[in-house]
Amino acid sequence: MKQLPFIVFFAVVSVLACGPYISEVLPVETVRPADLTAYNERGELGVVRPQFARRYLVQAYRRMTGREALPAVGRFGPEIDENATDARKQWSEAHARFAGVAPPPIQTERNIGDYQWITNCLGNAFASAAQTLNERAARYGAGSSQVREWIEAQDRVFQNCREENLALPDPPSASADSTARADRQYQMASAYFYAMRYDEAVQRFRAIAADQTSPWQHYGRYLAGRARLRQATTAKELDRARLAEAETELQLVLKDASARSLHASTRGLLDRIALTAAPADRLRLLSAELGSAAAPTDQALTDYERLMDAAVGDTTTYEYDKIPNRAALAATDMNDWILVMQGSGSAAGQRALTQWKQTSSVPWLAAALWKATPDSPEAPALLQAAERIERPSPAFYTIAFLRVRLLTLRGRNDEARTALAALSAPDAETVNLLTALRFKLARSMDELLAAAPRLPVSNRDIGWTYIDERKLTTDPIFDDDAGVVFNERLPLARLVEASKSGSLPARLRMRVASAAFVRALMLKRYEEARAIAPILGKLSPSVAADMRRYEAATGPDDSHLAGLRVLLRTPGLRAAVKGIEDDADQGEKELSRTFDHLFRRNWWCGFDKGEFDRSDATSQILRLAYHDGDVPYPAFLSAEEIAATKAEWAALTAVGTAPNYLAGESVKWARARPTDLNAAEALARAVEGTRWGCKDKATTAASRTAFQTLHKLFPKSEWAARTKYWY
Amino acid sequence: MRFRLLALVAAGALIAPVVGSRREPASPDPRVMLWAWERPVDLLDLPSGVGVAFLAQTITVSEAAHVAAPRRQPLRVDPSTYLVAVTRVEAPAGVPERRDAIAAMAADIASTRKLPRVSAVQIDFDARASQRPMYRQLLHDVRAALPPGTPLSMTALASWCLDDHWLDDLPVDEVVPMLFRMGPTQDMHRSEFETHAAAPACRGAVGLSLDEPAGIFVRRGKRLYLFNPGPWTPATVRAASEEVRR
Repeated sequence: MKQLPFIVFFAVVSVLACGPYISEVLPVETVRPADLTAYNERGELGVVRPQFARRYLVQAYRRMTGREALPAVGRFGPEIDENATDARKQWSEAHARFAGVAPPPIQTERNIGDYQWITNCLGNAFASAAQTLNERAARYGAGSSQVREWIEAQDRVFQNCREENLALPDPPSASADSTARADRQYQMASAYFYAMRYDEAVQRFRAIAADQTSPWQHYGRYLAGRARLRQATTAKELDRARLAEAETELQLVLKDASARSLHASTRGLLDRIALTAAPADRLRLLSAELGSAAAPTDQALTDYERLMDAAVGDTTTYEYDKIPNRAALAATDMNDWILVMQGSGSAAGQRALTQWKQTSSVPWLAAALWKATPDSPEAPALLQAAERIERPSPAFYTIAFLRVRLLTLRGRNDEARTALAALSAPDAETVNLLTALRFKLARSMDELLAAAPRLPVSNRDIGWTYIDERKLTTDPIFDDDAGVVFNERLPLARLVEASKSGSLPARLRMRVASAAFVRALMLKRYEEARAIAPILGKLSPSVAADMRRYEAATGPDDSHLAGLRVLLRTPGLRAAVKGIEDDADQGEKELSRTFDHLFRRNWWCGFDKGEFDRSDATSQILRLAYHDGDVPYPAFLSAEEIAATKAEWAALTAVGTAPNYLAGESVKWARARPTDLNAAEALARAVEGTRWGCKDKATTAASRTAFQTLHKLFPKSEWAARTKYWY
Repeated sequence: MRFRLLALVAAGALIAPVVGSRREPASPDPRVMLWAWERPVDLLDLPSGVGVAFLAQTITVSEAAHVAAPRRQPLRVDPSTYLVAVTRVEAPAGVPERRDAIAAMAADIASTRKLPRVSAVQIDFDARASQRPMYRQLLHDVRAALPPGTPLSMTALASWCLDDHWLDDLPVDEVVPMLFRMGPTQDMHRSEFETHAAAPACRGAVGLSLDEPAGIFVRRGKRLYLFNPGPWTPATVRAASEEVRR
């Protein structure tokens, strides 16, 4: 008798060597709409949810207030600055052409303290250097001393991008003409700039600005402004005096007609100064622009998000009451609305109602409906207003969903059903959301089953892994509302009914039938298990033979043992009906006859934990369709059925985790029928199950007992020979 | 933010010795390390005995070369805080094969040891099985490039510590299995870690996330790395300290 040694354990499998790489298959996305193209480019909103990222709420607000869609919502800044890469390449090529060698290695990042780096030398510096070099080569000749000296000086300038010590170009030679001298003045100023000697750089750039003969004259004031801005923002604490100087300098650039080519860039720098110096003011301006302008810039959206992240945190859920400086942040109607939509707590609901009453606007109606509680005195007025929103309003599906939701929360289910019956959705995610309401309102088992399957709309990578792009299948899935109802809100008799019905797609029907069969066995309701056996045999042909044997068993004892045999031979017989699945689940078209070594999802873990815990679920549906996420018993269940559901749940909870239960039952079987070789097989499979199934503190003892029983009662059996360890 | 993890920390009696007066010299062996990722972080008011493992740079590799992107956000810490400089390695499209390319990457990683008051270096690379030979070489090169005696740490997928033994002879002082964001394998892996199944190299430290249920007993003597998907702020750290005092 022996336990599996550690060393063997480590050597056995390496299948989990990396990954595993799986993704959840979602019927409703979390912080964004599922159909981004429709939402971003055409402004088709579907059902706008409170926990959307702020850029999607900006789009929703614009569309609900009659503005054009903002395609910038779908554009995120590039992670790699392609222009900078191209500019570096241009510089390298020009350097190689005229100096005969590649430029020295240039590190563009510089440490500014507190373990923080900035990109000190931007892409346009290299593009400008390459262009100037080409021009000077054309002017002086490719092999001229002027070009050689210019290149040497420029290499020295770029040395300052990273290095701590100032590297200055040599002074111009005595024979240098005015252009070469002006170039050198510009290079000297640039060297000081990159060396972060900003006072010296500003002085030199101003001198260049004052030099009417310099080809760099119109850059002088602009670069002095940039130097002051860099100085202000790289200081340990923001240097407001330098920031003000930068603004003054750059405003002068805007007044200089000869610097027209720099005006667009200058305006960008002034925007940045405004954002840095007075974020609240800038946020107000940006949110006003985004909410109402015909075509706000991508930068406005980026800056808005950055400022909002700084103000409320990079999250879409927060307590409304605890938003710092909320009044200032809510200075525009759009921002007020976004804070209310995302914010939690009764104050957010109160604000939504107040604003809706004042404005009667569609966005505030949506916010008020999202926040409405079943007993809200304003609910009747909200419902009346919601009924008036019709197609083609971009808010139509949001308001329609919320109207039905509020009707159900207030128990006006017939009205809700009538409203739902008139709705058809334009996209899969909206279909799923409306179907969830139909599921909630089901008056019969048939209606419940018809509304349980959903369409997959998204793959979401989970686990600490890389994201692999995978094709989204069209195979229907359940959401967590179905998971809760099938697991915890229906008695076994209803699960049997669902298994017999042809309403569910085959794979989902197999899942429900599997749970029903396992539960029937555990509850010792063998006739109900017998009713499901042929269904499972048909849905999963690999178990058909065992199911036929089960059907042939007579009497409770034989039925029990036949059921145990099927279970032990079929680790894919699960007791739970999962809501949100991952693609590994979704790929299982039959009940697995072998142990799942990878995820170890074999049989069940226990009804009081494991697969029934939704505390960390990704699914949105319980929050979106139900009040406080609480899924009630289906309306068509009788009081007796509800009582039966609760009693069954208590009995199933007492069974515990599958490996322990199966090991214990196998031992009883063997002791009762010590010459039955099927019992030997059961013991062997039970021992193996204690390796791959869900374990608890009692598992090792259960494994050992089953192992010992096998070797004591069936020492010469092939099953004993195959079972060398307990776990 | 949920602090279920903190109950675990208290249960593991990890924090009891570390919550005390601050401004003491950096502990050479802090029991708790906070991972500080790419966002502005102010950890000036840490309890003594708590260190910081901060993202110093992200290296993106390809088959030909690598690009190092240094930290963009400030990290403020007390001079007494024990610091580990973390390099995150991303390999979306293959890894370098040439020895000189791997050595250049190692030099960039080792250079983080020169940052002010950094005591140790950590590499965070979820290498695929096919990338392990390169990773092994990289670790040897980093070890060679570091000053003698510099602790070298690496993070590890939980499965590396359970189902194979490629970590056994790597030239590192510490392996930190990341027991969070593991999807459906989470309960299984945590259970196995709890029931002593981790490889020897993985028994000195464990990485957890503040927003996930603990589910594992952190034994005395293990170093605990904490990831926080939200921001570390003085308030967060204070709340954590208050929790663990209970």
